[in-house]
Amino acid sequence: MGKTLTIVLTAGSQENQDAALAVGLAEAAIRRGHRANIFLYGNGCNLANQEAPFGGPLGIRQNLQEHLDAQKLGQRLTGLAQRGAQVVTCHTTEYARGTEGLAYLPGVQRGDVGHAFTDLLVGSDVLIGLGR
Amino acid sequence: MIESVCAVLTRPRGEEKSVLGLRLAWATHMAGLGTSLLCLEDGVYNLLPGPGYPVEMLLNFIKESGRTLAVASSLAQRNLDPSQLVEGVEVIEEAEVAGLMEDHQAALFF
Repeated sequence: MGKTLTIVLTAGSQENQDAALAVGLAEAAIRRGHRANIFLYGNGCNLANQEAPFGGPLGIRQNLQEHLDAQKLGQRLTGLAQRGAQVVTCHTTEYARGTEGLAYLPGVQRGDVGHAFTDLLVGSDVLIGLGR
Repeated sequence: MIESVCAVLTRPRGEEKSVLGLRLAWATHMAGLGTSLLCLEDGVYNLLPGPGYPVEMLLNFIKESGRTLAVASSLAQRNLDPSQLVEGVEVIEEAEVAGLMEDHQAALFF
């Protein structure tokens, strides 16, 4: 029987590779028959929302845009949720960033550290923190 | 089931990371999980008295019997004396940190 891994992620996708590592680790755990959860905390909550594309000309060089797009993780987070992962965000850290109330990516759940996170721990065998 | 957590603060007061660690320690402690709050490196600055939410959170954690520790060498390197810290902080040697980690099922660094 597989184990349940919960990752506390405190980094967004652009500042370093910790978020990519967290998502990759969760994907690998699921591939190996385990369960995985991600709690988006601090800057990690920047991953929670759907994108709001700008309607006009971007003014970003193509190679820079490709570089930035390659680091986005929204589709992979939604994919994790589709494979049974609980992806929960801390609404307080969203509030601090003015993003609370924006639409979530499919599969992302609104939560908090006091209840949603501790509930995840009750069902977890392994807890890892990632984010500088 | 994760039943114990050691929240390790390495960042000083004024950075969001330290508040995230305090909030998480408070949440797990109040949820009944065995919780310790370990402050080392610049994290020891969180243990100084002062105004505002972070210190209130720390004092509440200690008041509710949350175990709060500081590493002696981190204090000494910053010319801080244990007598300057808020009441209720246990000062340990660096060599004792490994044992503290062994006492918990998980450690999260902030």
